[in-house]
Amino acid sequence: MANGEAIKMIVIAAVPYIDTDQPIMAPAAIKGLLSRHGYKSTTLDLNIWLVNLLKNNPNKDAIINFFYTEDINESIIDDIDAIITDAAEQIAAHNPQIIALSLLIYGCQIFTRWLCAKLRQLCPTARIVIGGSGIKSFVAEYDNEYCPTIKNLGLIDAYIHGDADLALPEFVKGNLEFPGINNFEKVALKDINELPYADYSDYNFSLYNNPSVPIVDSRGCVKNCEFCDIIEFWEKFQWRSADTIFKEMLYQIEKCNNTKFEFRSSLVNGNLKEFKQLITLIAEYNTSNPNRQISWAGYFIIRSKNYHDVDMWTKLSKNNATLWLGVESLIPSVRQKMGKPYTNEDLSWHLEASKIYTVPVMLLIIVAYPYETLEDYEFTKQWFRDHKQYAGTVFLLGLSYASILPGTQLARNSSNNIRRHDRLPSVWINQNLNITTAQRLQYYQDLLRICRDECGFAVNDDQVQTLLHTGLHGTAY
Amino acid sequence: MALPIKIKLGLLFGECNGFMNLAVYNQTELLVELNNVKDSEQTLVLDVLFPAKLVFVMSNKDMLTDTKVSDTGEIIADKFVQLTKLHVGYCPVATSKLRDICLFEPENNGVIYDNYWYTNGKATIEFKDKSFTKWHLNLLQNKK
Repeated sequence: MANGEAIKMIVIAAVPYIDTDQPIMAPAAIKGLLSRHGYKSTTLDLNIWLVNLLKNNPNKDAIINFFYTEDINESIIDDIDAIITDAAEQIAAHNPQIIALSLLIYGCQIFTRWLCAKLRQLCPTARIVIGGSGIKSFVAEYDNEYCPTIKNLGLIDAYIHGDADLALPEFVKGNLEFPGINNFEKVALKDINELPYADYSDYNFSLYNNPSVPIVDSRGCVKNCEFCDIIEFWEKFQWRSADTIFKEMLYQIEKCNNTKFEFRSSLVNGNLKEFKQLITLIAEYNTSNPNRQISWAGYFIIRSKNYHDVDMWTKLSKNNATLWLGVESLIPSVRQKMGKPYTNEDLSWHLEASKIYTVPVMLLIIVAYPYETLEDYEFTKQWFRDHKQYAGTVFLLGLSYASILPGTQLARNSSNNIRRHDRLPSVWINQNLNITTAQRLQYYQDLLRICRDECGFAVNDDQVQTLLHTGLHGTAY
Repeated sequence: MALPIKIKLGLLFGECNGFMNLAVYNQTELLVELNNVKDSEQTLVLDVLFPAKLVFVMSNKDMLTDTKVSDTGEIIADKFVQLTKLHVGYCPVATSKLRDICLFEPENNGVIYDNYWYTNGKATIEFKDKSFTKWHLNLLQNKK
């Protein structure tokens, strides 16, 4: 783009492929940001477009697999070519001077590369910038080849690491020296109460399946769980005040005509004082607006009954809240080492309260955590048998096979006694316990079966097929 | 309106009594001539409308004198052109596939697939599709 050319249009696009039928927030957040700086932009959620496009395509799995692995066969070549071309043409139709591509996950990288190649043809003078947590393989990874490689090829003009709040406006102005532009430094916004409201005006919510409006309440976390890479990225916990969040909710209800929200954060109850104030505001609103009530879903950490008392649960019920509980392990000693020191009694209180006050919960559990023994596996299986009365309240079990993510405290802690595969976080062995990958995978399958078939819990079992397909059970670990 | 594709080629010129001359065509349209090059490594950047057929015409090699061979039969100097790198639409072609896409016709001696052009003659890279991404996808799938 020639220097000094006026920026009349910026296109912000969410790049596929993410297996979700919910709105991707980033383009809307960036549109709000750019608008505050006086720039006109339009947003495209290319992910939902592709999700819907592939719904009835007989080659759906092969096409999605291509965008994760670049495995190709003749039967999908025309499909892939048409998808890339169509996606690029959607962007080019707006005649942008700047194209900002948002990669939510690592799995968006291949699509981005192909898309950028096509965009270079269709929009030869536009500046292309990419960003988002998906520009790296792992959030806490700092040795990253993808961005420098595609920049050196000429596919992009820049990449932005970290939050776009400060860096993107600088890029648009032409300042490429700002931290985080074409390097892996980052500069955080000091006060996220200053964040502009996300602008969903270009989103067609009818494309999504029962959509919620994404909203930010916090960044980072109050805990320092050793397995987590989010805290390696956002080192400090930041929160928006209850008033700020509630005002945005009212704004989005009017703009989007939708009262369902989903908090895009690591936890909604990090700042308990603000959280309780927020749920009070929402409860009062719902009482006054019985036919147009707010509902929301978000990640939630477990604390003792003293903190999460009856009053809180009563209000959560009036909030129409859905909680995704970070349980992580049923073994107290393991949780202690993880950095999650709540008791099993605390967990029982949450389950009982969710049942009494009708607050649906999802339990998020890491299966076969590196410190868990074979006896711990048996304890966990029995725990579900002993708690199957909660199968109705727990609307889903999210059972994740234990991984050691690069850059985390767990990775650092495990360097002496845990042998890890350098590119596959789920392939490792604790040499003190000597439980093989095959044994862990078998346990994972057993646990899924017990939870689902014996105890009646709904379980998310997508991951086990992937693990079996990659043949992890046959590794030397 | 059709838009051109940027093609970037890395070429290595072997020196033996000077370098080869090279003319590059799209079909019959002359795009560039490289005569009397001074450096063995050359980079060409072309803007080409697809479908296209790049034709590389090599000349200026004397087969009797422009390859030097040692007493043991090893080539110690050779006048040649080799395609060492190819980017089509900013997307690199794997080095291992360069041989498969270059149809080389040595002067008076049949045709082979090779990216090392050691005689006068011509070599062709064909882009049959309007879509360069489709060309890449076919190559990925091992089609020519």
